[in-house]
Amino acid sequence: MQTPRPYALLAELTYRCPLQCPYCSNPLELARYDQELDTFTWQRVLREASELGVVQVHFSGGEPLVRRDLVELVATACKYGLYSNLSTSAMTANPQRLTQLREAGLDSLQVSLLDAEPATNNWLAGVPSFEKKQQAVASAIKLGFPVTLNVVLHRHNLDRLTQIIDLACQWQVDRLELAHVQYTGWAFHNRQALLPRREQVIQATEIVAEFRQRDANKMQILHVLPDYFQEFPKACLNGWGQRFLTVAPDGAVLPCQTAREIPQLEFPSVHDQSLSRIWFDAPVFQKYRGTDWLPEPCRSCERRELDFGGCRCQAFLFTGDSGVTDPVCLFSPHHELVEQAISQAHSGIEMEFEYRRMKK
Amino acid sequence: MKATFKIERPTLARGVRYRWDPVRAEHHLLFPEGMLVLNDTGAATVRLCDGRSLEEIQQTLRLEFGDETSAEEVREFLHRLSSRGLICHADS
Ligand code: SF4
Ligand code: SF4
Repeated sequence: MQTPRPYALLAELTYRCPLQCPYCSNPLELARYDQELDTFTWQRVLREASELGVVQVHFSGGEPLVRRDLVELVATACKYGLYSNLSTSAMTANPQRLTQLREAGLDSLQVSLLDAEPATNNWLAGVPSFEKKQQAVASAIKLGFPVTLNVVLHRHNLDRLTQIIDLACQWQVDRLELAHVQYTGWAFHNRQALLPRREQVIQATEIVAEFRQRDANKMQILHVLPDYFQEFPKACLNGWGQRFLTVAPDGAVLPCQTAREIPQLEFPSVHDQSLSRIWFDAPVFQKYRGTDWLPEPCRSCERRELDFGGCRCQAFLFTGDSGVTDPVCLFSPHHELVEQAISQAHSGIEMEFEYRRMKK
Repeated sequence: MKATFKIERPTLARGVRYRWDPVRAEHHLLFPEGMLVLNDTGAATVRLCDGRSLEEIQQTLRLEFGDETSAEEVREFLHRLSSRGLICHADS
């Protein structure tokens, strides 16, 4: 089969961030990757991405606003006709900066919120941040940005889902993205303290369904279900090396933003090769592309074109082998590890989580 | 599902953009969390979503594509986009 071209680039401009979310998907060893690409190199990456077929770029991090050249990079993306989106914690999103971004051609803004209750939001973020987020959303809307409010769901905020939805309506955002924690990076480290109870997940699904019934035209809700509680895994990224690619702050090119979890993989760098060379030829992109590499039970399963065997990082985190069926799948011989993780997380002893921090 | 939603003067919602992709020679509709690949009729339809009335859009498409695009199809298509929050309704 011919290798498809990627549609979206996740540009992780930096791992630096003023917040300390315990579910952050950034790697644990943040300080190992502190050599960030310079402006000129990012501009080249954006050009190469558009030539390769990328149509959307998501500026993310860490906190992309800590990069002084963000406005310049947005302007470059715009020049190449890329649709640009910025994911931000909004800590430093003052109206001047937002105006500059708007003028540079930024298409949309995604602001993270940790909870509807200010005190819990601040506790989870490790830093007072609720008010800043509220102000940033208000100024972004005033500037005409389409705003998505992004709330990551877990044990400590799921019971306030109704309030979260109400708040999003009140803030008049265009979309609310409710994504359950993906247990990689810091989230995997803090899994015991974050995993919800099954009833919480069921209730959340009902609340969203009810809202969609009643108020569908008020606001769009995107609800990303937690895969630990599903029967089958997610089609992670629509397949490895099929549609997405990530460029990490230091220039490493990753098939998926959390692929750094897998120590056996070697990632090419934009310093050494063009994005197109990397996408089509690098062994790490070939390794799990398509369905030929699939092990059993996936190889003979009807769903293999639907989920491609699930998430490689999750397979590794559970089993130490990134080449096996995602253990979330009911058919996986390792599925009991998922059940164990869920029951252990609720064995009565409340776990504390560790805030994401730069450890030197 | 039958369209019950009123579509009078559709416009693209905030942050939704049509784009021709020269690399793949495809029509794209881009929005904050994703994109759709459109066929020629779909592309022509979204490009007419500038606040003119549904009837005008249907008529223009009929002139361009002939009878193969029924008015009902156009309506259904716009309804689907609308339920995903991709188009909204000017005035009305
Ligand atoms: S998840 Fe939290 S800590 Fe991690 S980059 Fe986003 S805002 Fe910063
Ligand atoms: S066995 Fe593999 S292909 Fe089948 S559902 Fe499970 S993960 Fe998907």
